[in-house]
Amino acid sequence: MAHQIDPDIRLIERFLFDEAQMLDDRRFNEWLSLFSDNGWYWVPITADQDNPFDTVSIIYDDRKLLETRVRRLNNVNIHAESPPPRTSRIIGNVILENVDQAAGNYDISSRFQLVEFRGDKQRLFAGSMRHVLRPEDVGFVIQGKRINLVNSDGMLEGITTLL
Amino acid sequence: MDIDQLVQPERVHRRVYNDPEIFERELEKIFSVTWIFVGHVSQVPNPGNFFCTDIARQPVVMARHNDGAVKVLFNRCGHRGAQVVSPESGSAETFRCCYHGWEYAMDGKLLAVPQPRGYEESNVRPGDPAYGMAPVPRVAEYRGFVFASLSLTGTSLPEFLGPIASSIDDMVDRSPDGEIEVAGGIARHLYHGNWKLVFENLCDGLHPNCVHQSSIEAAQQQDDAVFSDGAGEIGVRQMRQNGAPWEFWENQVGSWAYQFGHSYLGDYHDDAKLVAARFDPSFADYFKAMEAAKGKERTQEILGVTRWNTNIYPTISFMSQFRQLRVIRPVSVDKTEVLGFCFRLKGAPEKMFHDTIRFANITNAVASPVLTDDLETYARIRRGLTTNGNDWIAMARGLGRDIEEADGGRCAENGLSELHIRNMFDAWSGYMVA
Repeated sequence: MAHQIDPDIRLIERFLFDEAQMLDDRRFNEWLSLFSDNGWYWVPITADQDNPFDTVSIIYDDRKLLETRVRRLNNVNIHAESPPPRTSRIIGNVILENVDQAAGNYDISSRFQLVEFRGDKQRLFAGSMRHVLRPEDVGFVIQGKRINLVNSDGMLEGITTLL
Repeated sequence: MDIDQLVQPERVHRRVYNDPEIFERELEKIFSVTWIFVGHVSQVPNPGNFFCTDIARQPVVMARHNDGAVKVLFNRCGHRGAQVVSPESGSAETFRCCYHGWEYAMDGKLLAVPQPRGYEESNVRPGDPAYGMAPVPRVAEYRGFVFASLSLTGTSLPEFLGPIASSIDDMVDRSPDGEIEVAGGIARHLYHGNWKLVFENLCDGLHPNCVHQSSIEAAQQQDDAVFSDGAGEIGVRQMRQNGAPWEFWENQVGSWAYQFGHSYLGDYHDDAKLVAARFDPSFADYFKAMEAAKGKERTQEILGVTRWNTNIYPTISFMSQFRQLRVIRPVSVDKTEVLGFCFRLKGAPEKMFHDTIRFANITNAVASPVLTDDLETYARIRRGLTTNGNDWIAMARGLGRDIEEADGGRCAENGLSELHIRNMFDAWSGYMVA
């Protein structure tokens, strides 16, 4: 499929909004299906971390680990999500940073704020995201997603919510 | 109730986990007395390098002095008391206080006081130890592991470690160059629960099948043909291993306990299960490097050690096979910080270090599919222990079935025993009533 050189940013925004809605709705399998067969999902600990292989991360999942992570979230015996968290997220400042002509990918940056409530505790997560999107006939496939939390190197409590 | 009535042979009173007075007494009688792990020498390789941490909730800094020695100082200005070193780690010519600019050498010596006029009639002079950054009373090192004690007197480090020093040997000996280094950043987390819970849990062979059921089942159902760049292979394998059947824990896993609360879980994994071992090309290279450096026989001996988690009570838990170390820092009676460090084996193929990182992401990361269920369990223990319905917490499993060892340690009946918990409370009682 020949990708658009100058894609419609509104379509990209809509894709990110739909993705956020899936996560808030806990439609995890549907969310997983957005990723390519070798897609990756990465939440580094330091903002300038340039690779996930020689430095520890909050999350670094290749496709196999991401499948296992999502399957666990669907497992009824997941104690850390009993009761499950509820989330609401806002995505904004969506910018097309780069078009990788060779790979046919769009490099998209955005900002997010996410409120999570579980049991008796409400938490606020915020940060920036980087999506590597590959245009398809209809919509996009996520080749990679990186989330930089503003407090990624702070002392955090357990996180099961997908960012 | 007296301290010595809080611990019985097969159970402990809930106050040891949730009474703020008991916690303060622990800081005074345990953390301010015994040997506390501060860091590893590789975190401060060159003069001027420093790393900040806490001992008994007090800020300290480990630094490499110009003479090459590793110093541990209280992180406090001799002038008005401000914390001097603020970043967690880094490198500096001198330590300079933000308040009035007093400057210190890496051994805490006061080097310079700006605007010295006005101190003529006082005792304030550069070099006066009373106005320096005070060194902690005792610092000692075992094979690069730096420990400090806030007490001038007491057990020596070799005496304190005793036979458990062999677990540090196990970590260091696996390096073809005989040296390891902290690398790859720090994975941190915080939980609302007592500090003792994490030590109890890390050598608890009984919990994985229950606590980690969700990740075990998710991993068991994972299609192996799906693409992995290595992260999934390590992660899924470990989650499946947590689901080893009870017979495995009973028959193939052992638990050993020593004086001062130390213990380890052994014979759990073997290297074949861990790193695809002899079938992995990088492991073959590692094998060659080891044999070249240490000879065939010694290599077999080193890699034949199959220890899992070792607890050096009351500050660290570590394991050699994936080269991980957790530092447990008590904050309050129901708040604990955990720092996860990774080690690189010098002289080993870099892929082994990447596997170390992959393993850390699965076991120590705050969003780990494994760890998060442990943290939920600690939170529920905290909540459960607020009830007045039952004051006691059991540690009875395997009681009366321990075997005395020649080295003074005790071997549990099997890997499902709670010997390590009873052993920690033996030490705890000794410290607390002293």
